[in-house]
Amino acid sequence: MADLVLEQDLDQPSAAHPVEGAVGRGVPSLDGRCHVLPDQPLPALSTSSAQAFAAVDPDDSSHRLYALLPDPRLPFRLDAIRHARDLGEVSVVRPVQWGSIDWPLTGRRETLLVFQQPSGEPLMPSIDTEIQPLRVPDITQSLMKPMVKLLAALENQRLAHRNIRPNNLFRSGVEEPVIAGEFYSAPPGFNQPPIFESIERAMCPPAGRGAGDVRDDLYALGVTALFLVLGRNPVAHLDDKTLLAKRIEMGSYAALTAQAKPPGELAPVIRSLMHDSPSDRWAVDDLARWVDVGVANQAKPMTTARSDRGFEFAEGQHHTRRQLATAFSQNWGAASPVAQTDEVERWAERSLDDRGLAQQIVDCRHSGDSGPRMISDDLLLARTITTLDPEGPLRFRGMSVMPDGMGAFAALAATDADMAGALKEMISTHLVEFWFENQAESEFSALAGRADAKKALTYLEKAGPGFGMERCIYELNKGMACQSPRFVNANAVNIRELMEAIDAGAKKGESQLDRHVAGFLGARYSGSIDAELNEYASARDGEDALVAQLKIFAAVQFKHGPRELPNLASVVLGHLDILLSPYRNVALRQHLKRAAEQTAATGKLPELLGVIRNRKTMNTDKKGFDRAKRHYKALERQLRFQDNARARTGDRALVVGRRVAAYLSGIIGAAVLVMVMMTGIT
Amino acid sequence: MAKTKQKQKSKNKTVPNRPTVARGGLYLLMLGFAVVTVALFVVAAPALILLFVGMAPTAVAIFIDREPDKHAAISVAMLNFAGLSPFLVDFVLGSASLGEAIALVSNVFVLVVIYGAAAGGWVLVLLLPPVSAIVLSSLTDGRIEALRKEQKQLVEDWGEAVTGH
Repeated sequence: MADLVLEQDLDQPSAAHPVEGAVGRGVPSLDGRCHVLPDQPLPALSTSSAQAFAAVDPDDSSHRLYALLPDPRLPFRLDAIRHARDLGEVSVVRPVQWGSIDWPLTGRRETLLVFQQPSGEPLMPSIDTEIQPLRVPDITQSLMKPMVKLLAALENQRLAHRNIRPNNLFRSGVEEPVIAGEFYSAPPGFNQPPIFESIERAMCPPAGRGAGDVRDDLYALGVTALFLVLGRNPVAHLDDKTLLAKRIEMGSYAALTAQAKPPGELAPVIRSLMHDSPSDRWAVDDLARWVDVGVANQAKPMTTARSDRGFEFAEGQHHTRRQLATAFSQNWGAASPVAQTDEVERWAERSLDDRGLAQQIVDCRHSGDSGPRMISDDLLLARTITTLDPEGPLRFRGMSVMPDGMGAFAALAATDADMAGALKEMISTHLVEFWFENQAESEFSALAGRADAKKALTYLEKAGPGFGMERCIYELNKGMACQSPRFVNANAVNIRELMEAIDAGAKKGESQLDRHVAGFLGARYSGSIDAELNEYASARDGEDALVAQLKIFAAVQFKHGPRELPNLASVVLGHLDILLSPYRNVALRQHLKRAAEQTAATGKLPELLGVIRNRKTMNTDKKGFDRAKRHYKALERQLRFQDNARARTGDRALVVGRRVAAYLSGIIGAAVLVMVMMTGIT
Repeated sequence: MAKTKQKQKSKNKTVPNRPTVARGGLYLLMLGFAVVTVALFVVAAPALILLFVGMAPTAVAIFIDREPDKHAAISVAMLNFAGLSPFLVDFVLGSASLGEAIALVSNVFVLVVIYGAAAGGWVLVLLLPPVSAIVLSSLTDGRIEALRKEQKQLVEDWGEAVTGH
């Protein structure tokens, strides 16, 4: 069915393109530039995490487009989309445009990535179907040559495709160059069957496989070449777990070619590309040399220390370090007591004859400079596993993740409390740092993981809104939509979309800032908004929280838009009495209230904040209030004095009255005396 | 602050001194009265008789007034002396005999004038305190009303919080 749809699309001339008639009937469009047809799914171009639909460019219907609808719970590769244009003339599907759209099938906004449909069919419809085997020259010219160019270009952009496999490689005809399919819609390696992943990354669940680098693409290319030259999956009869065990035991190349060998001239190339040691695996230059001149140094065979006496654990004998580490990680509960004994170091010393390893295992019990204060049982086992298999993923309490895959892994782990708890503990116990200390070489992709772990640790140490696991998710996944339950339907990938969604759903009495929104804004804000988030996290009461929330939204609107947030401003107005409560002067409050109402009508939160929280006005008001308070107290003192005076009026009146009487008598007496004297003298 | 304390100190000093000053005035008056008495005894014995009989209400007032500043006695004394003064001037300036003096103090009209004047002093002493009470009470009420009005205005301007309660 999948093939039919794709073939139908490809075989139709552009004038009779089945999607053409659908345009103009109110079908969803990305800013009017591209119409996506929900009633025309393209299963052949769908992936395990994204559905494909036919799309039309209204300006040029000859462009055969398709749109991918990624799983909104997963981060898509925003960095790869942004760098796609910089790759130059290479054979890879590139996004034509992307954005959010109101999607009728889900009734919510969805992110859609629109691509030009690859011209041709996939080399294999699925990895388990059989095809006519490709000839070696065909593989060299049609597959390896364009892939060398593509991988070199990706390496220059510090990207990896991580989605190279026969059913994601297309070509329009025999001897036509192969074009690589999309790799943008899911985390790196997420859609790859484990067989196309190196052993370390195959040990991880899809979300934890990590960004990887060009060496992972070269490995996938080696496996792809093997499939194509054989015309089938040589190990289709094995399930993933059994195949992984065989690859660990025998090596990937040996495990995959145990029953079907590739042609002699291609075997060394495939072996070199599938080398299990990333440092010994062929680089792009080695492959380019082979493509150009037909010769290149083969990768040296891998040597793995193997004990004669196996380590008996979980009903099995484990002869190599990686086998034992894998067995431990797959049987965590049973392995923990074993790690606390000296059995492992004795096995390393006696059976592997590796005293250095034995000492390293002993050292796992000591915290060291970069470790935590206490080594818990889980951490001891995780450290022991890392010491046994340093190139392997981080393994902790049944969880496996590559250091450069923590971002996508955290995004999925956040929905599972146990997994999230384990991931938090793993990061906070500095296991990632321990993993890096055990690496023989520093890889670019791994270094990115180290930086991610440090960043995650910083945010996990704070528990308040805007920090914690939610912040980690958005910091480590630039293409992750906001997962807030309130705004998940908005599928906001950028800060502006989220602000528009918040404004649209803003209602009085509901906090607009949950942990996901706060984490998303903190991670996507251009600059730092941590001071405001800290203020919000440490808010003591409703008023503090409201002000901190307003400060956050105002800062975000100022920097990222949109220009107007009328509903949010209206919600703020609903809380105006609380927000203006710090102002004491009644007349000033009334004035500010009127000013705020006028400003809120414009929907500009920074200006509204300026009215509600003006530092100068607040200082003046505070000083005035303090003065008024002092004055009131002085008046109270005077009133008390006057009250006392009134109570003593009788006594005072007696004294005053008699005194006045004495003075008055004196005056009268003196006057009479003077008159008498004058009369007598005259 | 220091200035306020100094002011308070000086206030504290003046308040207890006030009765002393008043009492001093009375003593001065009495001393003056004694000097006049001695002088009169030497130069005009009839005038002295007139003075003794005429100033009897003052002596009674001094005895009755238990207040330390003796304002009532002063008030009575002043008007008593004012009532006596017309007769006393005649005696002092003229050459009146002892018999004339006895005749004068036996004259009811003269005694009514002198004692009536003294009674006027008592009237003032009794009348002015209630009048003062009315005036003082009115002044205090006005002041309290003004203060309350000012407080009310502050509450209107700044809210109940300005009261500090």
